[in-house]
Amino acid sequence: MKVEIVDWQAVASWHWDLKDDSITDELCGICRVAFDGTCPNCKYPGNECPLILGAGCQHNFHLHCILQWLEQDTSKGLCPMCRQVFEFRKDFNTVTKDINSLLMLIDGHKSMRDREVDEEFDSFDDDLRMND
Amino acid sequence: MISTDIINSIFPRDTLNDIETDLENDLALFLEWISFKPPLMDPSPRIRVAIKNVVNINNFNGYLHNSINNNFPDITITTIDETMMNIKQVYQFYSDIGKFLGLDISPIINYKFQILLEKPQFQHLLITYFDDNLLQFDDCLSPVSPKFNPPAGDKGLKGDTGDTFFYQYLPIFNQLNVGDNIMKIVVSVLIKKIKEYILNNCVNYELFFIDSINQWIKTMIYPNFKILLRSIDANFNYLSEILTISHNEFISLRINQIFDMVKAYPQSEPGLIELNKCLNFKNESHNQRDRLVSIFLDKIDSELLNSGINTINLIKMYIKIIKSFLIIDAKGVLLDKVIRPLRAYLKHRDDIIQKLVIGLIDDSSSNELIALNIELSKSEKRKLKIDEFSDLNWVPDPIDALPDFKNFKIKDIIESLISIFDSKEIFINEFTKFFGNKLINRSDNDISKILKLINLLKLRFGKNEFFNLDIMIQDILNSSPQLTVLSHLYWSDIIPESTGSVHEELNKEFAHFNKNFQKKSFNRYLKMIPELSKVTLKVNGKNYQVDMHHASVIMMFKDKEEVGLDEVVRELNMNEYNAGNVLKFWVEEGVLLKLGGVYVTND
Ligand SMILES: [Zn+2]
Ligand SMILES: [Zn+2]
Ligand SMILES: [Zn+2]
Repeated sequence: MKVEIVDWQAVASWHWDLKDDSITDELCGICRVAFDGTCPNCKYPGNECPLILGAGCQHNFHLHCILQWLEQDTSKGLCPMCRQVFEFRKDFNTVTKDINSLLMLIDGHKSMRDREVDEEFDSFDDDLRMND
Repeated sequence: MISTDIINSIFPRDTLNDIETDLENDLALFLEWISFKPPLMDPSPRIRVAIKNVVNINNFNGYLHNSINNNFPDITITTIDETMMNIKQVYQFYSDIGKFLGLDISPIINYKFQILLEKPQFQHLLITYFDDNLLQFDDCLSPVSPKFNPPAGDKGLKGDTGDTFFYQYLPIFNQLNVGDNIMKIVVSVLIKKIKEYILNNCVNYELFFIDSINQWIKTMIYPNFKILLRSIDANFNYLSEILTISHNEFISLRINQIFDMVKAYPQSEPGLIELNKCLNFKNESHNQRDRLVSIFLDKIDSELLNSGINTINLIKMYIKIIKSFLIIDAKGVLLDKVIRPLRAYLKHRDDIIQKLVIGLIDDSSSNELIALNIELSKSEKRKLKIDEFSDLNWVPDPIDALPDFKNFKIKDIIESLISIFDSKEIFINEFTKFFGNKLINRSDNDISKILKLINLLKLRFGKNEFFNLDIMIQDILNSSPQLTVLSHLYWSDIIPESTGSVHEELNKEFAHFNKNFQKKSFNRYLKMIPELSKVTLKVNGKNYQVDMHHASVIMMFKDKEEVGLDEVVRELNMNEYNAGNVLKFWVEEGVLLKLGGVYVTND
């Protein structure tokens, strides 16, 4: 029998793609709101506040939540859940202002950490020299 | 006033009969003379001698009083005229004795008449007399009235009535010194007249009456009453008291009608306005206010607080109570007192929230609580008013307010209804469900209407309470006619549980939507909701708009000519009942035929 689809009035729900079936968490570790819900800073969920997927670790956060966390110097650029250096999957097709800020914060923390390591080495060198 | 006890203490039990002296004969003659045989005879010379002898007896005065007390004639109470003539005769007889003896015997005489006056039959006689004649004194000849000299020849019945009273009865009452008693009786008749007038003329609370009552008092009652009472008390001037009495009577009537008046609002507005006026008169006590509250509360308890009355009617009555009682008492103190039991009762009505929500939202004429919708549409103006005046116009709560009286909450109908419930959340949930269903079955016209309504509701319930609905609206605004994308966490009441899966081909087609969506949506993907989705199919040249289950079932016949119910159930994960219904639909449309246990295409 001939059956053709002429028109759609589809209703669908949207979901963040966690890209990893092994992740069972559904809540942002920082604000404790579901990934598909709004972060405390947003009125609407969605593109304005994409889900940031951890790359070094498997922890995921709303963009604004992880931004707020990393804006604190004391965070030292670490994941608030597992204290590993926080990296995220950058497979977006556009880079918004907020995502750019996130990139810069992560970079900033990285260079801060590098400088601290350099300083440690320097003082280690100094100690060596003094012992001479 | 002289009482029996006082009399007995003054006069020993002994009478003149008991004195056994040589005066026995004289006493007998004297007693014979004073025994009641009107009119009093001029005493003969022999009696004069006897009187001379007996008056010298020790404590003669006491004996005399005692004898009169014991031999006083019974005055039978018949008609007013006969009775008054009787009284006059008795009084005349005894006062003549006193005069002849040169003794003041008025205490005993007045005491006897006092007793007569207090007899119920006599009271009744006088009340009937004044009741029949009070309003006819106006035109008559009165010794103290400004109309002392009426025009000659203009007497008639009214003049006769006045003549009789003022020239025949009144002098007797004055002699008996019973003015106070008469005054009391006349006042009781006056109150009776006012009561009758009000009950006979002022029952209809859809009309105004105070002016006509005042007019009636000033032209009918007061002039007659004044003429009558000024003849007893020359300084009599009690117009304001009489007006107060009539206003009290009028309020009493309206207070007894209060429940019906509230029910009849707004037709009963005149009655409510006058009730307010009377309660605010200078001489008004709090008694009437308290009585109003307690009568109304009793009525609420017996007429409203039972399961036989439907919720819509209860809410209608609630609104009428607010409007009516704010007319009676604009401060809202009385309203606060009478509305509490109904609030407590409504709180536990199962369908109350649903009825209120529909009442607020629905602007069609079929809305039985359209008053709420009209009130809601005024919200914008109201908000402005409150902001402007809230601090400047603060006044302390009225003295008879209950301790937790909330002036603002009590007066506004919507605010008052919302505040029945401890939290606004139940309303918000109901609104969310209601608008969610509207949004998902949208027509573009609906959305702007819904937005307008939600903005009004935000003014009432608070802007932030509607964040869930804001997200739902945003979803719909971002959607296209072909594809509606929902933020699923916020549609949990609307998204139904899955009742089956979708035919492969439909899923493949849907994948195009997903691809497009992902291009502009970072890492988001779509899941179809088959229960809410629709598709237009062309089957055998004819278009059908059907849901995904109907579409999936018919698509199974694209490559097969014959499909069994069990196959549909298995392939599309539908339950047998739903699958059977869908197949039945296609059979009724003439697309399929049912042959034994299987369905075949009807090409
Ligand atoms: Zn978050
Ligand atoms: Zn956000
Ligand atoms: Zn982590």
